[in-house]
Amino acid sequence: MLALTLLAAGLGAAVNTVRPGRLPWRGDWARHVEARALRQQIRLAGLDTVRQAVNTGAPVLLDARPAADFRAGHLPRAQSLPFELAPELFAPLQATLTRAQPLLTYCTRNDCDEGLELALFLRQQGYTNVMLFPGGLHEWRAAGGAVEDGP
Amino acid sequence: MNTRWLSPLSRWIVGLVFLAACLPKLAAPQALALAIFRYHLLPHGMVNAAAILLPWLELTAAVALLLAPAYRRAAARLLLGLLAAFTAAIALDLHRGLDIACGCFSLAPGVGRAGAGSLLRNAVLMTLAALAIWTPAGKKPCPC
Repeated sequence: MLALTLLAAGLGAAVNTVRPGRLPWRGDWARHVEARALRQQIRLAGLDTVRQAVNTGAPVLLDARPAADFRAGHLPRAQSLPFELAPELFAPLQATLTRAQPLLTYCTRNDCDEGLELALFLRQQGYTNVMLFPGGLHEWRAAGGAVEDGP
Repeated sequence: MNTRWLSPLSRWIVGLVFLAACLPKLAAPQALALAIFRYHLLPHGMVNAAAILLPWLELTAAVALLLAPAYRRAAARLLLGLLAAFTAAIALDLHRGLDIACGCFSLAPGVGRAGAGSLLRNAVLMTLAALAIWTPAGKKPCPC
C-alpha cells in the first residue's frame, strides 16, 4: 500500500510541476468568501436551494451587486439590493419581510464578497435566517439556469 | 456454491468506477480544490495538496487493482480506505446541514449533490472493495 501511495504522490507532484496553470501546494483558502461566511456563521446555500427560491419565491433572493449589473442579468425573482447602498435601499423592502423570513443573498461568483457583506448587514438588522449562495450568478449560469434582465 | 467469481467481478467494478471518477479530477485540479474546500473539513493548508494527490491515488490504485496482480490487495485496501474517508466526509457535512456538490464523478456546477444517495453508493462500493480483498476459505486467490 505504501508503494502505491508513494507512486501516486510522485506522479501527482511531477505532473503538477509541468502542467500549465499548475496548482500551488498551499492555497489562500482562509480568505475565501465561503470560509469567511462559515466563520461568521452565515449558512451556505447550494443550487438546490437556489432553484427552490427561483421556483417558489422562498427564500427571498437578494442580488447584492450594483444596480447596473442587476439590470444586465440576474436570477429570476431576485430583487436588487446593492450592498453599498443597502442602508438606504433596504427601508422599502423591509416592510415586505418578516424577521424570520429566509433570505438568500448572492453576487457574481465565489470571488466577490458583496453577497456575504449584504448577508452580514441583514443579520445585523435582526434577520435571523440569512443564507449566502457563494457561487452567485456565474454558478447559476454554468448550471444552465435561466437569467432575467431589466429592472 | 462457487463464489470464486465474486472477487474478480467486484475488483473490475470498483476499478472501473474509480477510473471514471479520477478522470475529471485529473483534468481540473482547480475545480477539485474548490470541491474539497467546500467540504470544510480539511485544514486550509492541505486543500490544494489533496487536490493534487487524490486523483493520482485513485488512478494508481484503480490501475493496480485491474492490471497488477501483485498489488491487487493493497490497491483494494487503499480504495476501501478512500471510500471510508469520502463516506465519513459526506455524512459529516450532511449532519452539519451543508448543501454541497459531491465532487465524486463530476466537477461541473450543479451536478451530483452530496446526499443520502452518495452514501448508499459508497456503501455498495465499499462492500465490493471488501469482496475484492476477500478470498473464499480454502481457496487460493484467483489469478484472474
